[in-house]
Amino acid sequence: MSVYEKIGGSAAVDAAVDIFYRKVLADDRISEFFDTVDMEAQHAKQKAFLTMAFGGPNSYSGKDMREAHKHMNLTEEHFNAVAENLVGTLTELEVPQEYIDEIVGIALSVKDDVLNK
Amino acid sequence: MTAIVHYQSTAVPLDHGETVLDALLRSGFDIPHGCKAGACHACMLQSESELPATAQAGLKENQKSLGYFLACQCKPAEAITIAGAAEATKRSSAEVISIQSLSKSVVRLQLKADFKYIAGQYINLWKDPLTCRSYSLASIPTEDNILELHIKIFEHGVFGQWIENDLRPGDKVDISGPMGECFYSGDKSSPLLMLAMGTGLAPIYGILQDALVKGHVGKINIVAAARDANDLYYLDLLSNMAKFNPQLNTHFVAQCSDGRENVTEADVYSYVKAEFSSTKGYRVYLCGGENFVKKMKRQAFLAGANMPDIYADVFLAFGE
Repeated sequence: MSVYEKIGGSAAVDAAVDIFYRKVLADDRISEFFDTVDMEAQHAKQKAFLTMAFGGPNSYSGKDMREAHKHMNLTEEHFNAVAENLVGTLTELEVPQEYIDEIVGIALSVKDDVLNK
Repeated sequence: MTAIVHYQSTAVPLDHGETVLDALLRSGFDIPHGCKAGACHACMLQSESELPATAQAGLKENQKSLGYFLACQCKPAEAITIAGAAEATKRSSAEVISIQSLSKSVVRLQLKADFKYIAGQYINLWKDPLTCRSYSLASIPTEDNILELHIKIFEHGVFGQWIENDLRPGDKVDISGPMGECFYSGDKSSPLLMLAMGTGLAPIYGILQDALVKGHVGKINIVAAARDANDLYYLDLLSNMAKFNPQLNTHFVAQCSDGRENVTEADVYSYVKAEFSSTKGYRVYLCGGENFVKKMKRQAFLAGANMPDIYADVFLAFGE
């Protein structure tokens, strides 16, 4: 059973997405990357990201990750900020620590693609 | 490579960056159109060619699958063949009932028409068979069939001038629609926050009446804002509604209050931030210009309202 199923599938994503998106928008280190005219589109992207990070069904490939982030000049600090907000969101939702560790593991697995290393 | 539009056995080459609508109009074709901003859907055409995604943004899934697209939003990279006008949204005839000034810059137009809609939606008003603009409905569907629109009068605005100077009670005009997804729904006990800038008050007033008629019992806060207090309207009407509906609170905010009673002189963003520091659990309705809606949506979301609970109606400027 994937962690996605264990924490409640798409309902867990729905519960997390507003909290997570609010956190990244309020985080001065990274808010510029999330602050767009089209909040609905950005909201949908965060939903896709969380589904991926929770190990749910998603259509992300390493190549997509690379392509989507390649012109953003992202650094370690940006990646860590997103990861912190992800952990903060899960903690707020009282997700058990072992699942949080698993989710962080999935997020870390795309780090090189995101940072174009 | 130049993109070419094939329409009624004529090939029209597109100028660089030109939309299909502008190219066809330039070539003398009569294409009905309105806002040129993708909102009114008056220039909807049909094609079996491959279409850029932007040309179908905002259309319903079944419209997309039929090859409907908005000519004003279509800048094809390659040749495109147009089958014809999309089966145009049916136009209905409406009778002008009254034209009345609400403030120094806003006129109320009342029309009588047998027309189905949900309070908060918008319609297209046709000045002639080819030209329309979108206006939000301020009325709720009732048996008297009276539709109410609030028209902002601009000094050189074609539509405002036509409505204010040329239209007379008894005249017949065409309307089409309705469109829009910003309306009252959901449970009756959540707190509602309704924010209107300028004539954004039209749909907000419609949604408010609808909420009250449907028996909303949760707190309702309505904020009507304008740059200049003299542009505000319906102050007495809304204040009276609040007297009879204890769950309703009214706020009138202007950057320049001009000493008017009941109007708070403040920046509307700061005012809302201070008055509603947490919007957690709120349903939020936002109506007004693009900037206002964008800023308020972000602000309401950051203050705790969830995205699916934020409803917005954006008034787009005529895209010329």
